[in-house]
Parts: sequence; C-alpha cells; structure tokens
Amino acid sequence: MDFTKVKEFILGLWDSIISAGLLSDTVIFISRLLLPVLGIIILYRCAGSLFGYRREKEVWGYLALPNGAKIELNHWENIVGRAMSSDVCMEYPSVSRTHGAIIREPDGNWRIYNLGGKMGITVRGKKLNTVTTIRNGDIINFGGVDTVFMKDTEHDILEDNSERKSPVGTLVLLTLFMSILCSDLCLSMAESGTIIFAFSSLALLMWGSYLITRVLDREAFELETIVFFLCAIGFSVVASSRPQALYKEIICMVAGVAVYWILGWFLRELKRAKACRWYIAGFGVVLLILNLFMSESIFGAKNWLSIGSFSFQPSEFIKICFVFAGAATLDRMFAKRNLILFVLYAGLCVGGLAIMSDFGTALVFFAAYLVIAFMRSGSFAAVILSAGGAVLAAFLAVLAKPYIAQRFATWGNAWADPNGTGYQQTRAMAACASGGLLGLGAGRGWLKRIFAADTDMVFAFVCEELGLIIAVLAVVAIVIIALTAIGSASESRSTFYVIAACASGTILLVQVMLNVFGSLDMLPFTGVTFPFVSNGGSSLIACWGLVSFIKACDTRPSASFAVKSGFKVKKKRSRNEEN
Amino acid sequence: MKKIKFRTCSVFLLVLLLMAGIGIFIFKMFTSGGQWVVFPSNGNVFQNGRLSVGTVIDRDGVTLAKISEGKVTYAEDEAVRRSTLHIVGDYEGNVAGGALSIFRKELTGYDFINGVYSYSGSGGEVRLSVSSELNRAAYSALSGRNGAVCVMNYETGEILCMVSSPNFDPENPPLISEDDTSGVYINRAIGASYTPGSVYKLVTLTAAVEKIDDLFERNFHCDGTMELGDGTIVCTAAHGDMKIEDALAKSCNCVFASLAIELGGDIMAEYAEKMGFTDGFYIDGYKTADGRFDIGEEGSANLGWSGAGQFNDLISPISMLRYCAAIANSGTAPGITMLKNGKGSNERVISQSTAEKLGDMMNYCVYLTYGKDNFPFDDVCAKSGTAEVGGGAKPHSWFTGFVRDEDYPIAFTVVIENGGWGFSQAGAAASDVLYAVKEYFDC
Repeated sequence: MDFTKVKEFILGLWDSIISAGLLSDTVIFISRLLLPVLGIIILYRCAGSLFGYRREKEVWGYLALPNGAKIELNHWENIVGRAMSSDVCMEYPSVSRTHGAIIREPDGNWRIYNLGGKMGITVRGKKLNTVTTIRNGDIINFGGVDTVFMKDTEHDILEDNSERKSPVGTLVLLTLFMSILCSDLCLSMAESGTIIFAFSSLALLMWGSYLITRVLDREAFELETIVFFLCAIGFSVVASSRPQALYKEIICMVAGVAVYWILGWFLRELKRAKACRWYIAGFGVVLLILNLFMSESIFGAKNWLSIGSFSFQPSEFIKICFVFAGAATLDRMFAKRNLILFVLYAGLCVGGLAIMSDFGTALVFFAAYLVIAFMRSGSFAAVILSAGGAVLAAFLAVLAKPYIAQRFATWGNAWADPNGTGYQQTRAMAACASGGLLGLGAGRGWLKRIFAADTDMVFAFVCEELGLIIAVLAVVAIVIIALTAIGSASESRSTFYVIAACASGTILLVQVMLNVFGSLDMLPFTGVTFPFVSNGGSSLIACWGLVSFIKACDTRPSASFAVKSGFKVKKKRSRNEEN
Repeated sequence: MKKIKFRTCSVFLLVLLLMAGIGIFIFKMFTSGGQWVVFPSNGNVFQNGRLSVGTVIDRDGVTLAKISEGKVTYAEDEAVRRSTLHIVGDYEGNVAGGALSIFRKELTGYDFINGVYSYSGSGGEVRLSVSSELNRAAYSALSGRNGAVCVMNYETGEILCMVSSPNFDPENPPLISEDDTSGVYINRAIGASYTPGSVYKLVTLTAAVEKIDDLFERNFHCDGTMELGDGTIVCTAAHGDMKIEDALAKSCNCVFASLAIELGGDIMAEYAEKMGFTDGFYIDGYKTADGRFDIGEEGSANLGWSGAGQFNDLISPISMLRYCAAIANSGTAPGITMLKNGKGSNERVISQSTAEKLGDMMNYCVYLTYGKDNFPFDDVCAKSGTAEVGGGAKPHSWFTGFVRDEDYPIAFTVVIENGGWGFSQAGAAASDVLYAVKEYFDC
C-alpha cells in the first residue's frame, strides 16, 4: 500500500475543493442558516433567565402599623408616606404624601430622615428635625400615627430555592456561534491565523470570566453572555474589515473585562461608591480638559488623545464618570444642591463635547442627563425645560457650524444625492438590502470598502454580512441589557444603583439609536459607535464599564458578583452587633 | 424606591422608540430593498457601475446573456444574438428597455430573505417569455429589412417573439458613430411609432360598429376617388358597391374616410385613445412609445385620411399587437409581459360583441383577399396596411392579426419600413413567422 499516493490524492482533492470554492460555498450556505437560529436561542435563554425568574423580595426589616399590619422593608431605602408610590404606604390623613425615609446605611445601621412631612416625625418621643439613627423596637410616630420599627435579624438571607438554569448550555451555544463565525471568516479572508487566534481568545476570556464567577460562588452570567454575543459579532466585523486590528481588540477586550470586574467590585460597597463619586466625577473633568486642549482631530471630531503610539477617545471614559456623578442615594435625591451641581456637571460635559465637534457623543450625554434628571427629580417640567434649552443650544450650534446644518438638510433625502451628502447612508441601505435576512456570509460583504463602515455604519455592515436577523438581534441584546436595568428598580437596594444602571442603559440605547438610524438616514448622521459591535478599543472598554453598573443592580440571591450576598451581609452585621 | 420604579419609564420610552425605529426600518427595507440593491454603487452586484451578476434565458432555458466577472457572454448563435439584441440589451446600456437594464433587480437575484445571496454567487436568472427559436425565424423573415416583428400569446399576455431591425451582433459590436441616424439602438417594436396606413381602419371600424346602428345593413359605394372639402381621397381602384366587410377586405379608403367624417373628429380621437394608440403603456415597468392622432377639421380630407391611417396618424407596433390581442381575447387586452409566467394588468377595451364582429370581418379579409392557404392555421384573422410616407419613399408595410384557435392563441404584428405593399411584404414575412410558430407549438 502506497500511502504517499493516497495522501497526494486526498491533498489534491482537498485543493480542488478549495479552489472550486465548493467548501466555502457550502460552509457559508449552512452557517447563514445556523447563525441566526443560534443567536435567537442564545438571547432567548439569556432573557428567559433574566426576566423569567420570579425574584423574591429581599426583606431587611419591618414597620408595624397600629392596625396590626406588618409592612416589609424590601429595600435599603424606603419612603414612608400616604402616596401610593411610597414603599410604606400609610393611609392616614395626617401623614403627608412623602413623609419620611427609612434608610439602611451600608454598615447595617438604620436611619430615619424627615422628608418634610407636615405633621412631623417623632422617634422615641423626641421630635425629629432631619435625621437620626433608629434601633430595633423603636417607636416612630409619623404625623400622629405610631409605628414600631423592627430590624430583620433572622431571615434576611433568602434561600435560593429556585431552580435556576446553569448558563453553561448557553455558553456552549455561544462558543459554537463564535466558531462558526470564525470558520466563515477563515474561508473568506486571508488572515486566518489572526482570526482563529482572536476568536479563541474571545472564547477563552468568556469561559475564564465564567470560571471566576463560579469561584466567587455566583451563578448569574446572562449579562456577560449577552455582551460576549455582541463582542463576537464585533470581532467578526473587525476580522472582515481590518484583521490586523484584531490584536488591539483582544487587548481592549481583556482591559474591558478587567474594568468590568474592578468597577463591579468597587460598586459592592455603597458607602465607598458614594464617597468616591465626586472624585470620579472630577477625574471626568480632568479627562475632558485634557481632551479639549491636547487632543487631535481625527476624521472631523477633535476627540482623540494620543499617548505615544497609543491613541484613545477620552470621551468614552467620561461616560462612566458621568454615570457616577449622576447617581444618588435616596437621601441625597431630596437635596436640591446636589441636583444643581449635577446640572452644572452635565452642562460642562455636553458643552465640552460640542466644542470638540463630537455632537453625537454630546447627544448621548444629553439623553443620559435627561433620564438622570427625571429619575432624580421626577419632574416632567424640568425635563421639558432642559430639552427646550438643548434645542436652543442645538440651533446655535447649527448656526456656528454649517456642516451640521447640512447634515440636517440631507436627513431623509439621502437618495437625492447618493454620491454627495448621502454617500454613506445610501451605501449602507444598499448593503442592508443586499444582505437580506440571512446575510452574504461573514467576510463576504462589500460595504467594508467604504470609510467608517466598521464603526459608524456597523449596523449595515452586520446586516450585509450576517443578515438583518443578527443585526436586529444585536439591537435586541442592547435592549435586554437596558430592560435589566429597568427591571432592577423594583428590587434594588438603593436608588444609587438604579439611577446608575438606568443612566448606563440610556447611554447604550441612545448610542444604538444614533448609530443605526443615523447610518440608515432615519436620523441625521452622527459618528457614534454601536456598543461592543463597532470597531474601537476605547468604546469597548467603556461599554464594559457601563454594564457593570447594571450588574450591580442584580439583587437575585447569589447572582451578581457586584452585589454582596445576604450571607456575607449577615455575617458582617452579626459582627457589628457583637461589637 | 417605588417612585424610582415609576421613573424608569423614561428609559422604557427609549426602548420603545428604538424598537419602533427598527420596525420602521424593516418595513422600509421590505418595501424598497429592491431599489436599494440596484444602486449602481452597490459593490455586491455592480462593478464600475455595471451589473456584475445575472443570467437572461429564453422561455426554453436557452442562455441569451450571462454576466460574470465584468463581461457578458451572449447566446451561441449569431442570429439569436442579433434577433434578441433589443430585448436583452447590451452591457454598455445603449439599448434602452432591454432585460439587462429593466430587470436589474431580478438579475441580482434579490429577494427580501436572501438579499443578493446565491449559492455560487452567480446572481439571479431572468426567464424571458420570448423563444429564441421564434426570434431567429422572425429575424430571417425580415431578411435584413428594417422593421419589427412581434408575436404574443393573447391569453397570457406573454411576448413570444420580438425582433427589431436594424440590429448588430453584441458579441462584436460595430463602431456606431454618435450622430448615427439609423436608430440601431431603438427597439422598433415598442420604442418607435409609424404611420399605420390601412391597419388603422380597424380602429375606425370599431368606432363605426359601436356608434353607427345600421352599419351592417348599409350599402357603400366607391368610385375610386372622393372629393372632400380641400382634398381628395384616393383608392387603389373603384371598388363599386359593397357592404362594410367588403370595404375592410378591399381596404377601401373612400368608405373609411366617409365613416371618419360621419363619426367626427372627436369620436375618432376618443377611440384612438381608448384603444390605447395615443399614449404609451407599461410593459414590466418600461414605457412604450406614444402614438399620435390629430383631429382634422370637420368634413376635411385630413379627417377622412386620418380614418384610413394616414394624415398625421402614428402608432407603435406593440399598440397594434395589443389591440389585435384584445379583439382575439373577447375585447380584453391582456397585460403584456416579457417574462415567462409574468403578469401585466388586463384591460377591457371593447365589448365582446364588438370583438366578435371585428374578428369575423378580419377573418373575411383573409378569406377574400389574403388567401387562407397562405397560412398554416385554418382560422386566421388579419389586416394589412400600406402606409404612404411621402417624399417619394416606398410605403411602410404592415400586417397584423391573430389566430382564432384555442391551441394557438397567437396575435402578431409585422412592420417593414418602406417595404412596399402590406400583404405582399409584411404579410409574407408574417406567414413565415406563423409557420415557425406552428412548428414551435407542435413540438
């Protein structure tokens, strides 16, 4: 038996299959059907695990009313009042709509705040002016109604008796998703070594993160899974358009995951987070000033900062600082001074970005500002006033910068001048339609030859190569992340976390809107990145940071590493009590 | 905390806005994706602004044009290449209305689900309703003379054969100067209008059938000439006494001129428009050439001549084909298409009884004048035309009609520019084409 001949024959056959394109045609044919199905299953499983789970409320204490009712204190921050929106609703005429707040300090001690109840609060017989510490068994009088405060000492640890599905299955599917993308790309691109390295690193990073989560005795990995899903699509975009940039993406990915863990760990301690937030906000201002005076203009907007051969966009990191500056605990929310400081801070950020001509990012900040302002004040009037002011400012900007006026003029009329002002939008739309629902196959698109296809027009890029289904799934992934932030509001311990999570969610959502609708001529074209999908290191790291704010809201038992488990809190508290 | 929970609705609003926007985009892509795809800068299916994929085949699967790697491969046979030049079009885009330009979306293989994806990357396939075999036969029937031949299935509206001459071999395109006046790029069947001559008597006759009650009882008389106001109507001979069907069969100018005078210019114009001769119509989205009907002064020789297809009358060959198809199809003009199994919109242009009467009289023309034996079918209905064009040039030769047979639902129109007598020239060519059609249908 002559093995060399057999080998030659097989190799020859293989070569002819490759050269005829049969193999890659068949692989693409199968994978364009498989990828959307896998994507749907992955997101469905993540969303099901996030929203399908019946969260049992954490109980931190009780308030006994004269009628014998014992009302649970489900949060660290609880409003007492007559309004239906109060956490402890007391339907007595002498109680004001928002009367007081019972707040558990991060060290486990409880305090009561007077929020302006007309008939006042008395604690242990003494009239309360602003705030005092309360202890187990204290009698608190709200406008003439006596209540008894009871700390939960026994069962504030929730038994995790729900049957939570392990995320391993979903991770296996996502790994399959990544390998299919990887093989498609290897068949249609020349740089297969780089591509295989990049996707293996991505998968390793994902499994590594999961391993750390398990080591920390936590289980939930849905948000991370969703982000890795988006990153897989992002890697496919980079591999197709600029394979050599994959190495940079891998480094930024590692950095992003590190930022995610560090920020999440940092957020565990509310006291620490509260104490540091103005330092962080100050750091944001420093970044902004650095950016304004030292940055160079790349592609129109003057928002790139170069240190040696490494250049990044500081405005991406200011987002994290901005979220910190905007978040507030319940007791702070009622102090006007804090809100005014934040308004000034927001003005500084938006103004600075506008000066740098980065109007897309300025708009993202402004939307986040509106949401934070509304969540803190609850006032529609304030929001409408701010929006009115912004329209005025935008008008002035249009007067000052004619190219912005031009973008508004061409908005919606891209096809009137397909080779001039509508250059990018028309090509983006043509690419979307060319891809159809299932796409042309990773690495087989044409849009990548157009400038900024892998960043500002990335939705069309994904639509062309991977199909409309996957492109829409990427949007849905961001929506699921934002909905997680919204859903956390009912169980979260502190408004600090809720506001931070919602601000992060807003930033992600608005970026997607500006990116997708801008490139498709449904909004004026602004160069904003699609979180995790667009090619860009700074954006990738910053978006990981934003997601950690949402992770910090996940109060399901032993779910999030960014939340201390009830067990540990109890241990600490019993130590406190011993002291 | 409950307050905050309510206030998260602001973020939820953004989620709704985002999803609504995505919904709108999907809808836009669903409705306009086909137009977006054929944007010539779309590098997926265009190269340097020219389509880079797609195949055009005839109704039997014969390749007429295949685009790959920036060039077109046409049919193997030169006669097929020449005869299908105008319906396929050339890669340079000089021939307007060819499949390569009007079916660009189909050639990209676009559909909403797959986009322009195709397994081997060869794009889409456009199957025309035309038979390359019939086209080759029609091309040889024209034998180099300028003009047009078209044949359609009057039940389905499918064009079975369409040839325009002059043409050239797209494989070896000749140098054609910019000030060329031959109109070689024009598809004469749909993109040109000619003086119709006697074939237009069918229109005058339609108006007369519907407007003159005792038309069939009347006795007409022809002395060979007829004085009308400022001019004279001339016949080829003094036809003597006759009924209306003989007037059509003998193509008596005097009778039709007097009918036009009797009906009046307004009714003549109304019928020209109603029968679809004045305004072009759309075939698969491509507009055909307009015709023309000017109203002569009441009682004038011009009005009389306009009833006999002279004066300023102009019609496109395809509009005459469509009208014949309507007569054959009980008064309903089928929606015309160049695509196999394509669909146009049908339109009733005359009543069924009018259609039957016209059909009978056209059949009588064949019986009396053209000779049944000249055609391969038993029941051919037809009308010839010899359109004087003045300036000492030979008249345009027309022959149009249809086959009254369920198994051969064929309508046909042949025009030969400056060909001479209608029946002897265009009629002979039509006869050749009909023999080819019969052979094609039978095998």
